[in-house]
Amino acid sequence: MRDLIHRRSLMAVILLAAAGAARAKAAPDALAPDFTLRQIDGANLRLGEQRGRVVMVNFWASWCGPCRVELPQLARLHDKYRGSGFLLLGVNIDEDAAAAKALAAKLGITFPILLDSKKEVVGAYDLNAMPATVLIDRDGRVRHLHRGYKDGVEQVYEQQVRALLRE
Amino acid sequence: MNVTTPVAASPHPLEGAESRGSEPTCVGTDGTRSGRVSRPRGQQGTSADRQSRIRGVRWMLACVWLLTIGGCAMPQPWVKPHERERLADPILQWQGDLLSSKNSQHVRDIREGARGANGVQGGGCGCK
Repeated sequence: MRDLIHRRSLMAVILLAAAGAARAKAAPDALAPDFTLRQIDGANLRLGEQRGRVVMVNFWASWCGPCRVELPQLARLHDKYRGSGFLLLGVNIDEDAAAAKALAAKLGITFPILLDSKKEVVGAYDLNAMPATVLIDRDGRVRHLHRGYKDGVEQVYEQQVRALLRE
Repeated sequence: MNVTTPVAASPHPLEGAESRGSEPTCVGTDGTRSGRVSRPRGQQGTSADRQSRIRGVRWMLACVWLLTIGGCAMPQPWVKPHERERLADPILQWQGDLLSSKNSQHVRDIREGARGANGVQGGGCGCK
């Protein structure tokens, strides 16, 4: 009897330890990990409050070459679909926010830039690539993950955004 | 004059020890050598309880250990792409002037007949 209790308690502890070790990270069809970050203009923005809109979260940095190529394409996408319920959030992970501001001004970016200088959000999403893009549907679920940037991928983004907007 | 009494060699090492009285008796009530001090019948339950308690403490220690390591991250010696900000610094490039270094490389290719192994592409940001 005592052995049985010991075995059960061991199982419970193993399950608890496994639950503690598991981290919430972005995965297709799972709820996107929520976050609140400060915008480049000082206001806070929470992902959870954007339900009802198709949200694209793009992780970028000023030191990342492909990000510099991708950002103008994303800005065009945002300008085209912003009136249809589409929101693009650029999460910058530079340690120095001034670098992000300078590059955003230089490239003429109009979508909200969020500052994740402590790299907590990008760590929670754990996409293992730079840049990384996550497409979230109106219910707050991750639908598409894109790791890195390749020429022409903006056309895939547009198709996916249109499909999600139609849902 | 000191008279020493010769001690007969014992066929079993334990017997010698018993005779010297350095160890408690290891002979049980049934005459077998159990390796433990025999206890009266009334204290047998106490010993079992003690063993059970020791086992319980061991389980508890194992549980604490599991909970402790559950909170630890797995060792990750590699640097993730989003952590390569400082590695992507231009100052970490081997050559300061790209054009002159390309020229030197070309001359080396021609003169030495050597090619390649001149470093890797990219700035270290892990973007590709």
